[in-house]
Amino acid sequence: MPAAIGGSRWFRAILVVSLALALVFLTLPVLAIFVEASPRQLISSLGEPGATEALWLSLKTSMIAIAIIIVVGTPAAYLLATRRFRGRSAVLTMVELPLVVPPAVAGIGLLAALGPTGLLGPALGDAGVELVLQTAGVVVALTFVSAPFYLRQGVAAFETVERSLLDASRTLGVGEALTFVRVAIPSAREGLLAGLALAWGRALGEFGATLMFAGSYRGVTQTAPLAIYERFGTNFTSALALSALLIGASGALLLSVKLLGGARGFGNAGG
Amino acid sequence: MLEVDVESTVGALDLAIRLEVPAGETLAIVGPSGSGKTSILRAIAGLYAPRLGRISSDGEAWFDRRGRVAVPPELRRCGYVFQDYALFDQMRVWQNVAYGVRGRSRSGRRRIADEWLERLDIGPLGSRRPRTLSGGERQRVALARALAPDPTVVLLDEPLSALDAQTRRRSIRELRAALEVSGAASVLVTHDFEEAAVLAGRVAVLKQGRIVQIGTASELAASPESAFVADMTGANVLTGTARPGPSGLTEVVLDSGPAVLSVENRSGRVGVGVHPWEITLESPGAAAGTDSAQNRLRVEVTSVTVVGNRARVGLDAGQALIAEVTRDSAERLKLRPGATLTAVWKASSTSLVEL
Repeated sequence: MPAAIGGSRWFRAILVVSLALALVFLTLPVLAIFVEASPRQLISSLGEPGATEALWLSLKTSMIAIAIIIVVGTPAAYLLATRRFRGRSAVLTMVELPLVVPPAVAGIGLLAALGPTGLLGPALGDAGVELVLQTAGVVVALTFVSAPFYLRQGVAAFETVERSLLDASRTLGVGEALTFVRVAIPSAREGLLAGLALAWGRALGEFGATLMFAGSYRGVTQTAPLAIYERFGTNFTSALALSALLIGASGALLLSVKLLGGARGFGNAGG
Repeated sequence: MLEVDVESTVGALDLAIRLEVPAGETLAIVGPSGSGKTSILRAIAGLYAPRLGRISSDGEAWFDRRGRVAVPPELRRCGYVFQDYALFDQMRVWQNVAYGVRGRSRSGRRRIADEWLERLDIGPLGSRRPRTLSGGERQRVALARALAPDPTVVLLDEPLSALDAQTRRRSIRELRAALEVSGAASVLVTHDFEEAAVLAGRVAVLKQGRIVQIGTASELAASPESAFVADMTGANVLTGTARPGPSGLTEVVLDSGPAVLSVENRSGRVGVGVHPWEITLESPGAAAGTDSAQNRLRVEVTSVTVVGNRARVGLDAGQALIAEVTRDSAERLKLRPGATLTAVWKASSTSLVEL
């Protein structure tokens, strides 16, 4: 920031100190994991039964959840951003509700809705769909808690797309659906990718709702965070090593999503 | 032929518009902001459905409330130049221009786009991204994109307002030429009467959703039916041919015969702009000034309209001309239709626009 004439030194000092405090506090735990877990431990933890399995399950279930969120969430966010209808703000609030619901409560809610004795349980049972204690249940839990991050960001991203761009496409002979694909999505790309990164990060870290709804069965529903918790009680070193692996994997995923958005996307990711 | 006869309510505004634009002609709609200009264009393009009425192009109904016809915008294919140009930043310039071109291979669409870019003098920009272009270049890309699909109707929303004064002057000629070549019925909206006068054959003045007067620019300037139209018309525009004149000035021989001087450098066919309040009127007996940089035209008074403490004086100088003087001097000069006077203004108050 170029200093304006007469800029006060004490205020600049406050700004710098605040940022330094935030930076240290937010990166210290992450750094500590890598400092405490030696490379040898990391490698040996990879060989541990259940560790790679849990990590792989986390990646697989979060990717499926993200795919569902993109396919359903993108058109839904577009509708919310481009149409004004009665009850729109109520709808917006409802789809954002899972953001403020504690994960454990989300798990209970999912059980009450989709569990064997839940609202839709009998119907799902008749259709032969089992979710509780199943990998599919993990996907449901991840989708539930992370979708609002994508929806919220998606609505904001589509709202910033100039109306005239969509109008221009229509007057040039391109219908509404193709205009959505060819103009709206590319124009909102940076915001959509930022939402994607947030949702994916949330899905990879999901713990409470998965535990309540899908349980923690090795190889079936035990994602990396659940495996870390299981080891935490018995073998802290092993929990540390798996944590380091999870950080590495999520970091790589988020980075690739941001790179997709290009260097400009990085700066605007907060939008 | 584009025919529009619609009524609607836009916010607090009651819109009631009737207009006809034959193919190959340009109609300019001039009005202050909030008078409903853009709504008219949006209704014609199908981006907005009026409450009542009918819109048709070459006899084909695009909108008919009673007949329950509402052709969607993608099937009307109006060439629309948006005020912000609305270029697709994620595409290259040529892809923007080719966006509306149908039924061709990729290379065929590229060729058509390149032809349009060439025609608008921005041939080398095809592979650039729109956000790297200047305002004038963006305007030409928007125009090329609107015209490339060969539309029957072209709509332009303040096409020059985002440009600086110099780029604007250059754009006027190109825009006129491009619209003439297209052969489409064109409707242009602007708040600038001078812009309307040089771009369009006929000008309609819009006041709070209604067209209050329609005619050629000089008809409107010479005989405004209301003070509102008189205010809206602003500058006079005379036409003539420019050539180098004495002491570095430009001399314009008006189509009506006499010559005037300007400090601006132009050549060939030009529009001569002078604001009504720059013109002073002298009675025939008054001693002629000695300043050689002054324009003096013999004129006949055709109308006197008093607007507040000012008087708007319609003059016939072979071409219509408007002067605006104080009410006091109008009374002192005993202005009335038929009186003969001399209209005087400075060469430095005379702007030139190449046509």
